[in-house]
Amino acid sequence: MPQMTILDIKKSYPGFDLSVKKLRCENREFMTILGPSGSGKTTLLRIIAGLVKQDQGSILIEGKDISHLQPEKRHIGMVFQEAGLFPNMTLQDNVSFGMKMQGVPKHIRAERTAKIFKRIGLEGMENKKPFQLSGGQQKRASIARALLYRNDLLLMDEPFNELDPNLRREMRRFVKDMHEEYGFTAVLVTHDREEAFELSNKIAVMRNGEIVEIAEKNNLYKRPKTLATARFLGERNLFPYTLEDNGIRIGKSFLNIKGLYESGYVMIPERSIYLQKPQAKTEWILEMPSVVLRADNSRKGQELVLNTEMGHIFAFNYGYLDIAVNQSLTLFIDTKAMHFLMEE
Amino acid sequence: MNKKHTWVLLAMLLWTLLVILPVLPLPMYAIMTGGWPWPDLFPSGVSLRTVSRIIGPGTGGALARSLLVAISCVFLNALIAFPAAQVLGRRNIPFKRPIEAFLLLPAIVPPLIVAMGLYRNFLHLGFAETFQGVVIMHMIPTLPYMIRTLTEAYKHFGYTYEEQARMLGAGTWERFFHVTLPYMLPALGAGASLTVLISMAQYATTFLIGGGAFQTLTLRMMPYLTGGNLTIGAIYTLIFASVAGLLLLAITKFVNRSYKY
Repeated sequence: MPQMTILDIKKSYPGFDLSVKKLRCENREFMTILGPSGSGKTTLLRIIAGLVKQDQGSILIEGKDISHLQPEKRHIGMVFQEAGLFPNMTLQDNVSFGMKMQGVPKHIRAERTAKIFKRIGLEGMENKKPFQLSGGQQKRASIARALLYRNDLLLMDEPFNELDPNLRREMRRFVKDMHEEYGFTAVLVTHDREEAFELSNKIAVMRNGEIVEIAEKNNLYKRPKTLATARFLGERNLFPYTLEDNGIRIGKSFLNIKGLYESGYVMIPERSIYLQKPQAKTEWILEMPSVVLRADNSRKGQELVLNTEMGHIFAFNYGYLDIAVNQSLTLFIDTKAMHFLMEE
Repeated sequence: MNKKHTWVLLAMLLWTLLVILPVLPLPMYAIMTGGWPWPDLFPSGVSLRTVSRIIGPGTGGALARSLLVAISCVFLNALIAFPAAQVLGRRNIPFKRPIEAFLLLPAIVPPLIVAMGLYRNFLHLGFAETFQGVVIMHMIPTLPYMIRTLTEAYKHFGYTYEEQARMLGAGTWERFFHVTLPYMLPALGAGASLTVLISMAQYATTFLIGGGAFQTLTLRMMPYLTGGNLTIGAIYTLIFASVAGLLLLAITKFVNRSYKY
């Protein structure tokens, strides 16, 4: 399985500069480039594919520089945002198109497509045209098409964007299964953090044309390096603090915990805020009085906004308690889960 | 009957009156002898003598020339129109609108005026009274239609399918023949149909550039129609209409068979 390295890539458009010093995707690794719209993630993926020419820099696959090659000579599988099955071809012809271009004999093509059709649940649909398939079936066929062309290196450009939530979940599971089965090296581009955390081993966060952070997904989730990354990942409890003797000060509140920097931000993940006193690990638990400002019902429970001495804090009630607005609550915060961020 | 149905019925009636009725007597004209005086329902006599006299090597040759010119025009037009439409339909180039207008100009300016201007140059270049000269002349009023239809198709086509094909290892020609051309077939079929019809109907330009020596079906048909020989005129009209119709049918069949979705 190939390993891919991006070195010193630069691309300039009017009003936008892309600059990536180094990005490495190991063998069999599932790496996600995560970033908001307009951060340059799709441009970077298209540069890897060869569909956009970089101003400078190299792309190495297994140590071999492929930057000068046309996309069709790079032999990289790619799944696009749209399924993009060729409308004039049957599903069988679509899925075996890449192999045909590679000169794979017809009987081997037929054998491989039959196998993958069975695997992706499209058996018996070989002679159908793309318009006769549902969105999910088309997407599965497009992934199968890319895999049959190159089953060890796959680029995916927001492949689940056009799908409805249920189908998105189904397709994510499908891609995960495929990755486990084929063990390909994958680079996924998305703005959806759920997707990134569900699928990948490693996440590269991109902002304003630069990779601002690369980390294993658990590290990134629990310990983002920058305030912007923490915000992008959905963390809402981010409080500015100042270091004092024996603790830190957040707003009017003094916490007897050790801060990392002179000043900065402290991240208190919502998952580390309990509404009932936990039985275990009491030594790490900080008790904090609060008043419920908002309690919005959602499918899984209640989203709470609470007023504390630190300021407004967000927490989640998974439905174990009956909570109303203006109610007083004691919060139990796991200080071990707190994370300190330097001021930007 | 509701209002919508009444309008449809009226439109069909108008269509019958304007298009179908004038064509109905044509087969009778083609076989009549001794005139067709008013108010007789049928001609005084019928005979296939004139038909058998017309269907011969002269007409066959003219028909072959007409078809050859029209088909050559389709191929050459497609050759020029594909790259032009690709740029006009998908890229943002400077002065795109004026370029588009310039390319459509031959469809607006009467072809005869163009032919008169070209004739002198064709004389110097040795194209006058030749097959090549007539083909080039016929391309001038037909090319804009081919460019127009393909440009619209390229606008919808975009880059998606070609990029997908590239990422599946397809080179330039493989992409064109496996992906682009099949998608463009309906537009190409429309452009080809217009080219065939316009080319086969060219009279004055063919006469001028071909110098009368290059005989097409229209050139043979026109003197009989204008000279009042209705029988021969009707026979040529029927041949012309059948051949043009068959060619259009063949194009449509080919497009439909190759491109079903």
